[in-house]
Amino acid sequence: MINKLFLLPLILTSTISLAEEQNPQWYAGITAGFNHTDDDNIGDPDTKYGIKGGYILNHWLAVESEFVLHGNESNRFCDSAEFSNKCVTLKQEYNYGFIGLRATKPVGNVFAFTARLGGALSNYDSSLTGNESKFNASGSLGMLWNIGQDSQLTLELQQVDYALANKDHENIISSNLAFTMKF
Amino acid sequence: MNHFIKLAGLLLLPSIITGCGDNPSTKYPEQTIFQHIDIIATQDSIKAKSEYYSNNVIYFSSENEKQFLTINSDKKFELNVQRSSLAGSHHDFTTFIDKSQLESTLLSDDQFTVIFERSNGNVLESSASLPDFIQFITPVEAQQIDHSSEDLIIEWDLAFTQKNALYLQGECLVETYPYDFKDISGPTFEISPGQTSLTIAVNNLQINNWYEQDTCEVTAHFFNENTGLIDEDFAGGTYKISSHSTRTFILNNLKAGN
Repeated sequence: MINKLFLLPLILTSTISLAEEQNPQWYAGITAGFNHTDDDNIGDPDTKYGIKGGYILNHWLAVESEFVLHGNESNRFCDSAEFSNKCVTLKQEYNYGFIGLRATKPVGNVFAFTARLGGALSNYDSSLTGNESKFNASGSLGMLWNIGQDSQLTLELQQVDYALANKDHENIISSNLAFTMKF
Repeated sequence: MNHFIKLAGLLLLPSIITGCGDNPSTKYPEQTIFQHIDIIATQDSIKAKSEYYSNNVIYFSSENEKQFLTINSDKKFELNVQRSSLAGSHHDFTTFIDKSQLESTLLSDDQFTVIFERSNGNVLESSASLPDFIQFITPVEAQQIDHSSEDLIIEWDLAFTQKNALYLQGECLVETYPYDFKDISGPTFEISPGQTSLTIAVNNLQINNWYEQDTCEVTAHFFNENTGLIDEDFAGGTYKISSHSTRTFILNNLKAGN
């Protein structure tokens, strides 16, 4: 699954190359963040990190792709001591690949509002329940800071929907900081 | 500056949303939950308790998390469930099913299945068969026994393969404090494998000092226990099911303080 997700940026770049316009600008970077999840002892991941890349279509729209790994979680769940000392360990791995459009609305020369909408193929793997994958809409909203002519910092909230161990869905919302450079 | 204030508000939004969530216990995958079932059945009543643990007792917050007991797949009863709204209270979550609800006599080998319907649509089934009911031979029902001159002889038809216990309960008998689901407050007599009778010598029962009457109604109890199978999707657990047999008789000429 992870290998397939790594292919997403390549597919994206291949597709966009066919529709290349004047003054195309590619960008790539790294991203990291922390998740806002329930404090429910189930072991939702706290952190995330990944790579992203994109192609700027015009001054306000770009196509973007991203691959993100969440911090792995491992938690023990035990029986009531009244009955036994048996415990089980739940190891969880989360990752997703995103592809979609990013819109940017400049506010002066340095800052801009930015939002992203597309689809994310999220993958959840648990030592006890197996693998669950799903493709669903994913979005983000935040601010962009042009720290140099070709480098940017983006701070935003991102949402990704996961199918979890109990086959329930969970929208993981995260605060995310990304550094990208154009080339 | 206004834009930054709006952005800060947006960044705080998820914390506000996730901080007001429902009790998360319904998110626990069943593979992290241990189920413990205890059922005691007479021929015309059932007492059932089913609990779910994962580090602490799981308190179900969702009304969609339900559990049922089915008997031979044709009778279905909803069992009480601990819910978050009752957490911390000393509410008894035991379910009692009486003769009027059962409509027919329970028999050995009846299949008792506890069904756990989760809010995510998963259904887990734990099953057990009801063990044989012990039949008392002596004393006969309502027999009067002069315990000042006769030994109390209790006989039954089925030898246990493991250690068991005979419980006596009556207003005249010195109480013990029951700490288990059987909830019998009276003297207990250990029964060895293969044993099919118990003799209690004349005046050998301890009678309450305050008991002034010289007759007393006493009930003998046997619990024939079997173990069932917990659904394999659970992390583990126990399923105990007992057939409960009783015999009531009258002791005469009691001597208080024995």
